[in-house]
Amino acid sequence: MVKVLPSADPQLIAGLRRGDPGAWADLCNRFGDALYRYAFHLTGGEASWAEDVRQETLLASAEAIRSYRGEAPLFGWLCAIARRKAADELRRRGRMMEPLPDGADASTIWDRMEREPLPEDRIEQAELRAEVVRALWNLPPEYHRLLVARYAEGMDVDALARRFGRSYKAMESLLSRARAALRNQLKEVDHA
Amino acid sequence: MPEANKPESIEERNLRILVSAALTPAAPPLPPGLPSQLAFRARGNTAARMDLPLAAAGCSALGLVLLAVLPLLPAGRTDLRWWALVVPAANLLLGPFAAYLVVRNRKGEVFHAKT
Repeated sequence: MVKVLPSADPQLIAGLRRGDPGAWADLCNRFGDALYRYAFHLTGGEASWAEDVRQETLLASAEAIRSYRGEAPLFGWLCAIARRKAADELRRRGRMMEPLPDGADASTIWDRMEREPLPEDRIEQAELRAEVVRALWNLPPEYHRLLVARYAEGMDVDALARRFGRSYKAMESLLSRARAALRNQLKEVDHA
Repeated sequence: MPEANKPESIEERNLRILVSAALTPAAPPLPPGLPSQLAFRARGNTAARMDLPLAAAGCSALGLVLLAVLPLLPAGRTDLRWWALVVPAANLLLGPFAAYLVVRNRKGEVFHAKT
């Protein structure tokens, strides 16, 4: 099993704890977009609510950064805060967080990913999309860039090898490790 | 077989759909002042944690000193005795009020950052 390394470096965390504006700008640059997308899926596609959740999450993270021990990836920690913020608002609105389809937990669904096509209605499921965002941004940056280039930009292995400056074989191997890392992340469902 | 001619595997198909879904929609930009506000908050928390115990200790120390000198004051100076009790009491009352003002001020800054 591939062990996924935390995506946040200790220097960044130290800077965040010191209240260094550069470190906080780095965090916003690195995770601001992803956090919005996570919140967007979590809130069922309400753009303004997603923006509120993102901002409240960042503000809460500044309050709580000293309690972050660095054991979980930084983006996973931010996602856990975002989930609580979205859940609080849902409770205020008298709604429940969208359940996973058919009562199945997400890891069961990801287990089947290699064997059968995920049904369209499940892919459309907001909760699952949010989990993919969390998993993708919890990966080491190299894996993240590679998977985005491969699956979102549609680059083939040859083109990836040129872009990343590796041989074809090395790129296939790296891609395989990146896929395994993503699968592991998807199975680590974080509903903290 | 060249990669272009290989049929797409089930996992590849799932990943293509999921990764593309995870990258949408485009995120609106964050308010430009937000990183500084976040840094300020993180620093403020550290400072508050340091300041509050220090302030409480300072108040207690001042109160103890004033109480200690109370018997030394001339017997006729009841005004001094009065002040020796009022000053630490006022400190203790003003401390929480100042903390409330700081918190309210920070919330105001957050609001400005958002809008």
